[in-house]
Amino acid sequence: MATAPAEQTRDKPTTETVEERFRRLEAIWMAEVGHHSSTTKLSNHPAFQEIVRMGQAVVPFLLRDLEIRPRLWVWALPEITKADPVPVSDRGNIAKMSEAWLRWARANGYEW
Amino acid sequence: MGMNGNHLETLFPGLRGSGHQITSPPCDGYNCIAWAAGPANTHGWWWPFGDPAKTYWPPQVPREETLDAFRQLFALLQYSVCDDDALEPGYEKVALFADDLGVPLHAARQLPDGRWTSKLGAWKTSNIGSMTSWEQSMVR
Repeated sequence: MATAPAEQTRDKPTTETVEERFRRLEAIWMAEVGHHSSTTKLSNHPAFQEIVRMGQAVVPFLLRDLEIRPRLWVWALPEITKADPVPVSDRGNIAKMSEAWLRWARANGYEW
Repeated sequence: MGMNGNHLETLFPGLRGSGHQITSPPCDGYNCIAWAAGPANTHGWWWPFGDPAKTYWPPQVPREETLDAFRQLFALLQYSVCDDDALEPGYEKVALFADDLGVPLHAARQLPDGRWTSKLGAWKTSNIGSMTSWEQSMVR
């Protein structure tokens, strides 16, 4: 697949907020590999990995997105929080995984 | 977050002039394999490889990123290998796409009218008129 090098668009202003940085990385990620089904292609993409490296600061934005609709952020949250609230029977069900993460976040005092 | 038709045609030039139609909004809830396995499967991300905590894959099928594993998946769903993509009344066909090394990339399902429907990762679902458009786009 033809994709634009992520590095060309990943340079950012130093005044960028956490949310702006997150949305910029999300846009790069979706544009470059969002059409793939492979979890390795999606999870190993540099923009996704950079979102994970943003750590706890990005978690409220991920949770906010999950409240709107099921999102693949359920793959980033375990890497950031080291938690695993999804029942084995719900693995791969992105909607139920999203609900499990929202329940876990509420129980653990997250606000978003 | 979504891609418009122009972005789709840039990534998949074979779609140009194919008359493809976007039929659903962007959705992370299911992927091409789930959608190919049936229109009821809109709550699963079906993929064999990587962290098994992230995806659904039937336990009876090897968690391998190989065409053989994908064929086993669809055999489990009562599909069998066929010769071509021609419409045959009474049969539903699924096409598997792989790269030059045989690593699966994508799947599409034939509709009763002969068109093909496909979900592109976390993007949209679209219908196109012929498999040739997909072949030109996906098989390289």
